[in-house]
Amino acid sequence: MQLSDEHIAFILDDIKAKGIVIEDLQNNLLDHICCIVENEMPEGEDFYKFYGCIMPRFFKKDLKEIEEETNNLLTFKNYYAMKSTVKISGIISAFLILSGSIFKTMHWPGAGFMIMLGGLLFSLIFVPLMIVLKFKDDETTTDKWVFTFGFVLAIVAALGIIFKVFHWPYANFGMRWSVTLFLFGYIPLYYFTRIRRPETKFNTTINMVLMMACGGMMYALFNLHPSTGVQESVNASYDFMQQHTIQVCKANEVLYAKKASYLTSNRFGQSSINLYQKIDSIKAFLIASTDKIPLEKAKQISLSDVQGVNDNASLRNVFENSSNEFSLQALEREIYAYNELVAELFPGNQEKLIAINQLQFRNTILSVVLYQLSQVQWQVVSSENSYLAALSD
Amino acid sequence: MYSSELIKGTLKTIILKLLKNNGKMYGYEITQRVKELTNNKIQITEGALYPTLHLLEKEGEVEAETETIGKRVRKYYTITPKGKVTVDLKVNEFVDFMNTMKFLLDFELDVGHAAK
Repeated sequence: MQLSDEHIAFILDDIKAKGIVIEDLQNNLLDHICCIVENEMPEGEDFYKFYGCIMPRFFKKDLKEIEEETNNLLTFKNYYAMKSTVKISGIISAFLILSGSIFKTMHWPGAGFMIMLGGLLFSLIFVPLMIVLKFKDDETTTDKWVFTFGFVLAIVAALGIIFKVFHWPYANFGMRWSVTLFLFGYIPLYYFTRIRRPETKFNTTINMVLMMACGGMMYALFNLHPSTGVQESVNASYDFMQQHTIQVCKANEVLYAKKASYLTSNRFGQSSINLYQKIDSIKAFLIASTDKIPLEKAKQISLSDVQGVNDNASLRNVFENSSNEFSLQALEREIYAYNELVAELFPGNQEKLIAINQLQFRNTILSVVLYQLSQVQWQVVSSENSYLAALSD
Repeated sequence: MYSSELIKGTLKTIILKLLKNNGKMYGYEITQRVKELTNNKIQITEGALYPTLHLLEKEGEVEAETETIGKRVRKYYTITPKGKVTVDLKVNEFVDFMNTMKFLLDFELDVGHAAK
């Protein structure tokens, strides 16, 4: 029998309606069915009746099986490739993280690189592939989602640790939230979804205890602030530097008082005073913004009384990423101008230059920034003092 | 007619061997040729044939070209050089397998062969 265009359109529509989506397969089946009709349909038989009779030989339950079988076969190979990638990436990342940690403890070079590579391998290849494989397993939907939740937390925690090692922003956020959700979200979910099953009951209890222990330890290790001893020594150094800076300032005032022309006629003196005052106002502004106290009060406060000494979030907003007169940008401009003047007035006199590149103002906490600002002030007044002393000789 | 379990494991070998011997073939033609050659003892089902053909194409064992016949498209399959190597390996493996099965299932107790 010769098939008409309507017959062909009917077959194609039927194939599509029965769930065959792959175009190649649609064409295969269409041609196959047409061949059967053309070669096997008895003379005079009704096309639609014959079509209805031959279709069951294509499947056990429905036609979609062919598409599913094709997809299964095509992804089967990937499945094995994925499994071996999981194994290899898992082993390599574990090796890198462990060696990196040992290198870090021993202060050997390459530690950071190893930890970063291991962590990235773990969080961007190993865990995502585990999620995909989990969804291919024959487990219950609940189990799949619970494990996926755990895996996502593992990714966030691993990235948080990498960020922490490299002193990048938002590391604490990632680490804290992932461990909190792990302890108070994932572990209860894991426990309650598995404890009622007799075959998993014992393992669930053991795993839960282990996870609680690990999570708890991680939490304890996230004491993300400097220790009290370190903090106190930073405070003491800051106070010491402040006092001595003020003393030198007073000495400078005495020298200026000796001769009015020292002040009016020298550009270096003016520039030093400007920079000193600028830094004073930045310090007060930073303390006021972090502790949310009035500017006047912030000017008087000692470092040990500042509440937000370990703050970095508001510091990032008001100092690093801001562009107002108290920002890091403004400070850098002033320091560059000061350095230019120094280079012009005292050529070859390197020690008077402020080594701005060696100062750590980014990705750090308030006490470190304040301390370094004081250091710059100390350098400025000291240089000014030696200059004035030379003038008065 | 043999059970589908028996045929399933050898389907790739059957298809590749047919394509190697007959040049380009399309799906229906393959099923018919197998029927013919085996006196209806082996009937490849469409549900197994097309997924396997797609897999062979993806693996590069066969390649396909299309021909439009009126309102429909026919896909002809030909074996690739890679497929030719595979089919020889598969046929050898199958012959070896048959010999082993013969011994295992004790059709002909051949002690000399088993000791080999």
